[in-house]
Amino acid sequence: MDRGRSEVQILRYLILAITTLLVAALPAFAAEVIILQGSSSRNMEQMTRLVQNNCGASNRTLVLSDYAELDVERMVREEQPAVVVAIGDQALAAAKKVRRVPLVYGMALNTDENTLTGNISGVSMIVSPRSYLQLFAALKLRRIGVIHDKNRTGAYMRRAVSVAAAMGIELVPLQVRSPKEVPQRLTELNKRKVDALWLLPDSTAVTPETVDAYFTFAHRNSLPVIGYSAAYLTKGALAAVELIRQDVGRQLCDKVRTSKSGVTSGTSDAATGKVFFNDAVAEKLGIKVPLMSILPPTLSFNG
Amino acid sequence: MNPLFLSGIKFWKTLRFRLLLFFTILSAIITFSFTAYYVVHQKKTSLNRLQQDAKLILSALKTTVRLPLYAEYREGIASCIAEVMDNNALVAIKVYNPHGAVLGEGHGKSLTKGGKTITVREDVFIHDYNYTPESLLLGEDPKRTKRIGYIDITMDTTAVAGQMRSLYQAAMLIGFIFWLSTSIIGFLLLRHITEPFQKLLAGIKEIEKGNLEPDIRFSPGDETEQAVNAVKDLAASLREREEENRRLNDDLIRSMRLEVREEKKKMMAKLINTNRMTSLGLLVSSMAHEINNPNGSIRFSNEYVAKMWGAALPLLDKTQSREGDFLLCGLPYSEARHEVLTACDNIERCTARIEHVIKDLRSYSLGERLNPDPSVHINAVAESAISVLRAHGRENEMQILTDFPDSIPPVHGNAKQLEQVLLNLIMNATQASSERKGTINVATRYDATSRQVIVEVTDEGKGIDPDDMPRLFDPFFSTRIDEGGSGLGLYISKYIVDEHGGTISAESTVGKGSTFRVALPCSLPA
Repeated sequence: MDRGRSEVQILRYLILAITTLLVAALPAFAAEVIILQGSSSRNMEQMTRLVQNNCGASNRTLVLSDYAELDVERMVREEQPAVVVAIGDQALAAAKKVRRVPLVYGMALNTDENTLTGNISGVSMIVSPRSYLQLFAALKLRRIGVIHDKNRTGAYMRRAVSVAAAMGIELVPLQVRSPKEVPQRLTELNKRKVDALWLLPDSTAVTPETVDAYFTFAHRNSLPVIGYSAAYLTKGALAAVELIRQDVGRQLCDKVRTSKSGVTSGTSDAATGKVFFNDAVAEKLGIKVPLMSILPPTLSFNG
Repeated sequence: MNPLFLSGIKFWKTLRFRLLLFFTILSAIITFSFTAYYVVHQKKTSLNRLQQDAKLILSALKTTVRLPLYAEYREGIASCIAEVMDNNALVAIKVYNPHGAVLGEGHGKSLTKGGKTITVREDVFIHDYNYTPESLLLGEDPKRTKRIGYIDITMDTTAVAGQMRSLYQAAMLIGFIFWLSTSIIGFLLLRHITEPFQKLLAGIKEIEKGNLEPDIRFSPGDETEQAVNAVKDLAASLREREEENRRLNDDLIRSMRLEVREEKKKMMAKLINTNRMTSLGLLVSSMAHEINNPNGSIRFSNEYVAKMWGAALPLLDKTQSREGDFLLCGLPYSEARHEVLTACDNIERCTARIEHVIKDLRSYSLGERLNPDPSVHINAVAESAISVLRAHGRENEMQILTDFPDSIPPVHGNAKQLEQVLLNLIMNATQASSERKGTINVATRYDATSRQVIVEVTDEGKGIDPDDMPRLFDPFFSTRIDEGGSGLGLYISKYIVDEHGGTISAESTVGKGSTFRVALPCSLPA
C-alpha cells in the first residue's frame, strides 16, 4: 500500500515537472522575427516572402494595411522577437519607435538615413553608387548631373560623390526641396554642361509632373538619361539599372542574421543590379553600348 | 510472287510497314501540331502587334490631346487626331469626355464587309503616375488624379486575317512537304535499318527448310551481328544434333537388328529343340518298340532256358554222383551249375531293367497321364527319379545324397508326373555343377504348420544369376540353349506342381549353389 502511494506521488511530481518545462519553454514558441509589411502591393509581398523563406528563423508577418491601428511597440514588448523587419516606408515609420530590438528595413524609398538610430539597419532601393559610376565610366560619361532631395537621397549622394572622385568622374548634384524647383535646376544643369542626366528614385525630384520635364530637357540637349527602371527606356532613356529583388531579399536576410547576433550594420545599398540599354537611343546619341565583359561584376547585362 | 505477300506474310502486317506507318503517323501528328501551334502563335503575335500599334498611337495621342481634351477644345482634338491617322490598320479614333460624349473622332480606312476589328481604350488623366519611384520600385498602384476623358482606337484585323490565311496555306504546304520528305527519308532509313533483320529472317527460313549452313550477311559490330552469330550457332548445334540423332538411330537399328537376329536364333534354337524333342519323342517311341520286341524275346528265351536247366539239373546231378565232376563248356559242372543259374538271373534282371527303362522313356516322352493317386509317397517318387537318373548314367561323377524320413505323409497326385518334376530338378542340379562333380542333396520333410510335404534339391554348382531368377520358370528360358537345353523343364515342372496345388521356388547364391523347393499339400485329412 505504501509502495503504491509513493508511486502515485512520483507520478504527480513528474507531471508537474513536465508542465513547468513546457510553460517555461512557451516563449520559445513565439516567433524570432516579426515582419511588418507596409502595404499589400505585389512587390512588397514578394519581398516579404523572400524574407520569410530565407531568414532561417521562425517568423510572423503583419500587414499594416490590414489594421486600423497597430501598436508596434507594445507588440514587440509582448512577443519579444529577436529582430523586427520593416518592409516599406509605412512599416519603417511604425517600427522606428522600437529601440531595444534590432530593426532591419527594406523597400523604403523616403528614408533619411541621418534620422536612423543605432538599432536600425537596412538595404536601400538603389544599386550601389560604385556600380552606377562604373557604368558611367564604361559609357565614357564624365560629368553627370543629378537632381535630388538631400533629406531623401543625401546620404547616398555623399557616398556617390566620394566614390566618383576616386574614379575620375565628376558628379554635379543639385538639390531640390520640392518638385516645383526641378525645372530651374534643369536650367542650371544646362549651364553646367553635363554629359548625362542621372535619375535617382527620389520622390521629391522624380514626380509625375517632373518626369516629362527630365526627358524633354534630355531630348532637347541630346543628353543620355540613366535611370533606375527599364520603364524609362520607353521614354527615351539610354540605360537603366534595376535592382534585383531576390538579391535585395538575400541582403535583408543577411542583415536579419547579423542583427540576431547583435551586430548592427547600418544601411547598405543594393549590391547587384541588372542593366538595360536602349540601342536606338544609343545610336542616336552616338554612344557605344559597352560589352558585357566591360560591365562591372555587380551588374548583369539584359540587352 | 505477289508483292503484297512478302516472306509469306501480308505486306500490311510486316514489321517494316508497321514501323513506317507508325513513323509517318507520328511525324504527321508532330508536323500538324507544330504547324497549328505556329499558325496560332503567329495569329496571336499579329493581334498583339496590332494592339501594341494601337497603344502606341494612344500613347502619342494622350500626350498631345491632354490639354485640348481638358479644355474640350474640339478643333484642337481633331487636329491631334489628324496627326496620328496615318496607320493603315486604323479604322477609327474617338475621343470622349468623362461623361461619354464624343469630342472628336477620325476615320481611317473603311472596313471591308465581314471584317473584324479590335478596339483599345485608355483613360486620359491630368498627370501620368506610371513613372514614379513608388510605382516602379514599390509596385504601388499609380495614384489617379482626375480623369478628363478617354480615347477609343479601333483597328482593322482584316489584314491580320488575310495574313493568317496566307500563313495557314503556306504552313500547310510546308508542313505537307516536310511530312512527305520526312516519311520518304524515314522509309529509306527504315529499309536500311531493317535490312539486316530481313536477311536474318531469310537465313532462319533457310534453316527451317533444312539448310543448316545458311549464308547470312550482316553489318559487323552491331546487334545484328550477335543475332546472326546466335542463329548460326543454333543451326550448327541443330546440325550436330541431327547427325548425332542419325548416328543414334543407326546404332539403334543396328542393335535392334542384332537383337532380332539373336532372338530369331534363340527362337529357332528353341523351335529346333522342340522339334528335336518331338522327334526324339517319336524316336524314343519307335526305339522303345524296336528294343521291346527283342528284349521280350530275350526275356522269354531266358525263362525257357532257366526252366530247361531246372529240369536238366537232377539228371546232371545224377550223372555227377555217378561219374564224378565233369566239364561243361570248359567249366567243372560243380561251378557251371551255379554260373548258369547266375547267368539266367542276370539276363532276367537286365531284361527287366531294359523293359523298365523303355517303359519310363515311353511314358516320359508321350506324357502319359496316369490316374491320380491319393497316396503318393514322395520318398518313393524321389528314389525312383534318382534311379532313373542312375539308370541313364546321367549322374556321372556326382554324389547324390538323400534324406528321406519315414514319417512323410502321402500326397495326392500323379506319381509319374511328380517323378518327372524331381527328375528335372535333379538333372538341372547335375548340369549346374562344375565338371559334373560334387554333391547333390535330395531331402524330404513334412511341415506340420502348413501341412505340406516339402522336397528340396540342393546343388553346389555355380548358382543362378540374380537377373535370371525372375525368368527361371518362363517357357523356353534356358541358360544352356547352346548345350541343347529346351528351356521347358522348369516351366513344365511348375505347371505340374501348380496342377497338384503346390508351389515350386528357388534360392541361389552365385558361386555357391542353388536349392529348388517343391511344396505339395499332404492328402491326410486335417
